[in-house]
Amino acid sequence: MDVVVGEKISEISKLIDGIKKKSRNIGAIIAFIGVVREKSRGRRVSRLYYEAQENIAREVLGKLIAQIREKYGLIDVAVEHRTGYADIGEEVLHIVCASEHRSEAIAAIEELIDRVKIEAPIWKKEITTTGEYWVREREPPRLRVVIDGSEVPLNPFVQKIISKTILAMLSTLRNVSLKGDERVVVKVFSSGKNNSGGTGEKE
Amino acid sequence: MITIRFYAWIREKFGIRELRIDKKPQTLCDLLQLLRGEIGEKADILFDGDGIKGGIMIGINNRLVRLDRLEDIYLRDGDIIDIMPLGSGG
Repeated sequence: MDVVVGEKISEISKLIDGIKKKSRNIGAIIAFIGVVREKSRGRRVSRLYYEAQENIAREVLGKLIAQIREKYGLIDVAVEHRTGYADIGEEVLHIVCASEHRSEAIAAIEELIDRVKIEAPIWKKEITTTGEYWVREREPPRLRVVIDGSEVPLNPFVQKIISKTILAMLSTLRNVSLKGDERVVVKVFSSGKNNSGGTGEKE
Repeated sequence: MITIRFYAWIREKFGIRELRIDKKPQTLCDLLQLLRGEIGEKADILFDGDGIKGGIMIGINNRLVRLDRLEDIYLRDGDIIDIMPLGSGG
């Protein structure tokens, strides 16, 4: 397990090499690289500034990693987050998950990315051509619907209704026991009428 | 003395990096009530009705604390309290 919150983070290749050496049972490594982009909510970003309460951020990330490792049965996890100023194109967040099979690592990294962003006390300020703005995250949504890569905006009331309906249906299935803190992913694969050759994925 | 430190946009809205409180409140709940009095009309940045707003995180001496039982968290002289917004990293 590796947690870094500071002005310097490891190169992703070194992080992956280090994890690869941890176990001969690793069959899949999934890596996420967060990069500073120029456009954000219609504004042109010059650079970003990251502030952190570093001690608490390390504690939170350590606990989060332990939780995710146990939940998905991962072999190893690394999370490294930059602080200070970062220019366009610079890498600011590295997350690497290693597991025996790819499915656990893919599911784990998605949850980690979402949770690292809001649970760790690390804050992003966008320095743009029109001013400086702190990015303020909202509480995470109860439900997220993505169709062919585009997220469908849903208000909290609709999120609640759809998620409760899905959970109620799932809870009736044999071998499904829901405690209430699960992260449920439903993927719908529909073949379009005009698409005889392929399969459209609705996630 | 208890020191309260503010972070990111909360710090900028208050216009101060830290606040020192000479009185020694017994619990974190008491401290927050004192703070509410100190910040006056800016209280709505942190408070929602009787409680702390959703998304606000609090640390004591570099450890994050749970906010569901503030009255059970006892303070000692010299404690450093961090008041932080929800993260926005990545």
